[in-house]
Amino acid sequence: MSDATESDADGTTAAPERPQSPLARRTRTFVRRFRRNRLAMGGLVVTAGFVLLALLAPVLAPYDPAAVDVPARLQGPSPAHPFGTDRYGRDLFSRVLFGARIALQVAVATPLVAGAVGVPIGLVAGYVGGRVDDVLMRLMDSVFAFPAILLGLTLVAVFGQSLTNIVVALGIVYVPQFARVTRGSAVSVVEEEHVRVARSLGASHARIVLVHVLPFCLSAILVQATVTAALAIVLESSLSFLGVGVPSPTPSWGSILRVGKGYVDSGEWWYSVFPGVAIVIAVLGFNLLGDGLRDVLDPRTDPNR
Amino acid sequence: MSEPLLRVENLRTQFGRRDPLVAVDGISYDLRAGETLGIVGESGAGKSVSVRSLVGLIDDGEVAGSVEWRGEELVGAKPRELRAVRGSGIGMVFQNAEAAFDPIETVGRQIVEAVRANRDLSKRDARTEAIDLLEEVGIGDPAGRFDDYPHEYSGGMAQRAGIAMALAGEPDLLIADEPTTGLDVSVQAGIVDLFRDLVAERDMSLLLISHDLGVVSQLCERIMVMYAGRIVERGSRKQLLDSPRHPYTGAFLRSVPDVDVRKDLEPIGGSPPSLDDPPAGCRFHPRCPAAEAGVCDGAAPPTVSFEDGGEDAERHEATCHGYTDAHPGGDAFDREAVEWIEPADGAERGER
Amino acid sequence: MVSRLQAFLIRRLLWALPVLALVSVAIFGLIRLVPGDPAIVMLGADAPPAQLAAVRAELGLDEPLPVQYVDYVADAVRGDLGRSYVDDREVSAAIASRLPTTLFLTAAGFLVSLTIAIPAGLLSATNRGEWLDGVGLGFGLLGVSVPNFWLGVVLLLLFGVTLDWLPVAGYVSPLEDPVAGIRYLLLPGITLGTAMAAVVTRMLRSELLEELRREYLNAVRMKGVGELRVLTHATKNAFIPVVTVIGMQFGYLLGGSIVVETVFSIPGMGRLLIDAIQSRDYIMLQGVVLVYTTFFVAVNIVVDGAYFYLNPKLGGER
Repeated sequence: MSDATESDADGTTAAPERPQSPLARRTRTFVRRFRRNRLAMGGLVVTAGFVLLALLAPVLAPYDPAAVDVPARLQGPSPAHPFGTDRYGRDLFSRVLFGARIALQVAVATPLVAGAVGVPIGLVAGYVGGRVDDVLMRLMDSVFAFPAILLGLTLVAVFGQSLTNIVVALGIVYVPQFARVTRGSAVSVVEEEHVRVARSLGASHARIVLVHVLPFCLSAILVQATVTAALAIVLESSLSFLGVGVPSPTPSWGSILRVGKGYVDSGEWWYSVFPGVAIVIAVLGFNLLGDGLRDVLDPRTDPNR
Repeated sequence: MSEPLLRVENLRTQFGRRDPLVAVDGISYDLRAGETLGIVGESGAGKSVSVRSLVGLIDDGEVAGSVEWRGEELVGAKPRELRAVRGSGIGMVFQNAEAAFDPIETVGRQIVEAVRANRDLSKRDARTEAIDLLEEVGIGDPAGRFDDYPHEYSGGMAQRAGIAMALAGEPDLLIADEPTTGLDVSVQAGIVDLFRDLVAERDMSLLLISHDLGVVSQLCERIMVMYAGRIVERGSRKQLLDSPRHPYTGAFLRSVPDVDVRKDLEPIGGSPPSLDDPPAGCRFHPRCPAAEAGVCDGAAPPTVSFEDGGEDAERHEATCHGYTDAHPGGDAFDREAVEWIEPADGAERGER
Repeated sequence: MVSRLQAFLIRRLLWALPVLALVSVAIFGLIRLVPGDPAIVMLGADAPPAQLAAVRAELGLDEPLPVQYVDYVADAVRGDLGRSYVDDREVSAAIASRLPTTLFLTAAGFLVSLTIAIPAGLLSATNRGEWLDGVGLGFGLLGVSVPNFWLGVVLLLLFGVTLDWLPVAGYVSPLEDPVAGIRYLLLPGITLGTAMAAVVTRMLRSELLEELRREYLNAVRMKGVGELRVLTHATKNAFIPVVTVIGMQFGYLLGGSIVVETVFSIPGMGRLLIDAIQSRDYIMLQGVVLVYTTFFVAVNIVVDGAYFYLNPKLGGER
């Protein structure tokens, strides 16, 4: 577990060579505070478990998630089928395990897409300031003017349904939040001593932004990425539940629930319960991790909380 | 002599259970009706905590000892009992006046709330009373300023309004916690005059906290000097200003500009100790010019009483090793004036 | 004479115009973004040529894009959102018939969320570190982690099917039959409101904790009033920043209603939207999205106005 903590921390902060640099100091403090934070560690455990299950799904799943067995359809939980079977007799446990792979892809790819667009926007807005800042942020606000689900639905309706399109759509939905968060940190970092020194030494704008500004925005971006992962899982499953998500044969948690909902009245509760619990656990893990990271990275928070 | 209004016995306030920070470390004093008492000391000496401890305003710390208000114990009192004393018995004026008002309610309504909490008045009568109070504390156009928000008042006016709010329950004792700090000197003078008038006209007692000896000496007949959670010297204004007995009091007088005594200013070297790990023995010894190794850094210092200031003088006491035989003494310590010495454990009292 | 609040609202409205303009461009561009001929996308390649031509004419696809846009905006401002190609309904009429349902549902979710969040946030903050606070914190975390559609399904299973207390699907307008209307809205309202309740609980808790440390509360205590009065002062102050969050959440409730309408088979705008997407009824889609967005922008303006009004430092309440 502690290995994961280390790699997580290293991944966030691209530690520079000089050990006395402020960044290295922040990294060390970060790791120490992270280990002490119950929320963060709890979130890490749950998230790591989720990632592991998703990666090992082909090994762990007792059945082929697509294997139809009509005589065994709509069976309740049993030792043979711990989560029961669906309307074609497919093993729901295997399908939920494979569903984790979809959720994992969404959780990883969405923040990457949103960050790839939003972070540069936020950096430019925060670093350049003035009118550029105004225009960019107003643009972000108008994207934000769409409720996420509405934007997601509309984009998927236009692009067409595929996992790639959904990730791109979700990515667009969360661009403004990355831009906002990055701009917020960038604005405060730009005023700091080391940036002014770099500027007076004649470093290029690109170099200042990449070397002296971006690294100090990473903690806020990391928190945002974690929160976005949680939101993206919820949104993808919502879209799939509405029938506008990942196309049908793929076992996305949302699309399993979409079909399962049709069996609520007739009492096949397992159809709706287990995939939902899977979503809640995965989302809860990222939310815990996000809350924990926020506490850990915010110097004002009380460590005894 | 009549029963004291307020009797404080061995008051002790600490924060945190592990490695507790003892902000007030066993202080005792009496306050009679109509008296004016000042507590002076550097910031961080525990003055503010000590008065907040009296009226139950400490919520994250522990208060021990005894605080009797008209014979009724306030330490550990029920919320209802504290409520009865607050407002009508004891009113409080806070340091930062604007911060002492709810920012989203008008000043007038907040004073009305204080009036109605203590007196059975109709809304209209309470409003009239609140406007009278604002006038009494010197707010021009009180009816017109009634509906202003706290941030629309200047610092001095906000403090006057804060005093009006504290007076709304017609208290017998007014506690003022650094009421002039952060105000311009000219504004300060007005506030000091206001307190003097109010104490005289309303026949109130005043307990004034300040790091400004000038303000305290203008308003208070009796003064206590607090250092690192303890009282190191107490006496009448005249006793303290004319013949300070504790080296800290002397140093404090020399460091303050606007006291009657005209001297060159000498800042006190070093800084006040941290209260989570105070120095052993006399807490002032690391900064004391007359500190004696092996004496001042060992046992807690004894309390020494002095004969000075005439017949009906207050008791003048200092808590210092300098008057004992263990200490070589010196110019700073006038042993002729010592009346008696009470060792720190309080067991015996010896004539000198 | 314009009051400061009015001046603020005017500024805010002016600010909303470019946002709405951008949004309208985006919506307008939507069906033109679809790869291929929009008419064929909508009707299918084997549609009769006459029908295809009609669609192209209606969309003005032969005109240059700026002309098309101006026509579109001019029509939209007059309330003409076009006609559905699937069932030939007027889009604005279809929306008008569905809008009240969605607004009732959103209002129900709003009420439910504040009914939960205000006591939960207050109890959590005033019992900091005790078990009640733990419950509040747990609710705050779980509430944002449970997707609303699944919560709806679970509530259906529990209260609709297993216990059979409440209807599982459908809608009755509370205006026509208040009792039945509320029975139908109860589960959807809880489903919709829970996530917002969680967000507001967390926010209210942290704002109130911050507020409870303020000096003015000691001044209030020193008046000799009870702790309830003290808490009232703190809560009023803590609420000002929370209002902003509540407003933002109101917009998300509108979004969430799309999902909840599907779960509970409620014939609102959300169903209209999903049906439009599934039948590739892009004209309908365009209209519904425009109405949703306009509501969202309007709510934001109202919320900003409320924040301004409540905060005397900005020149509001008198």
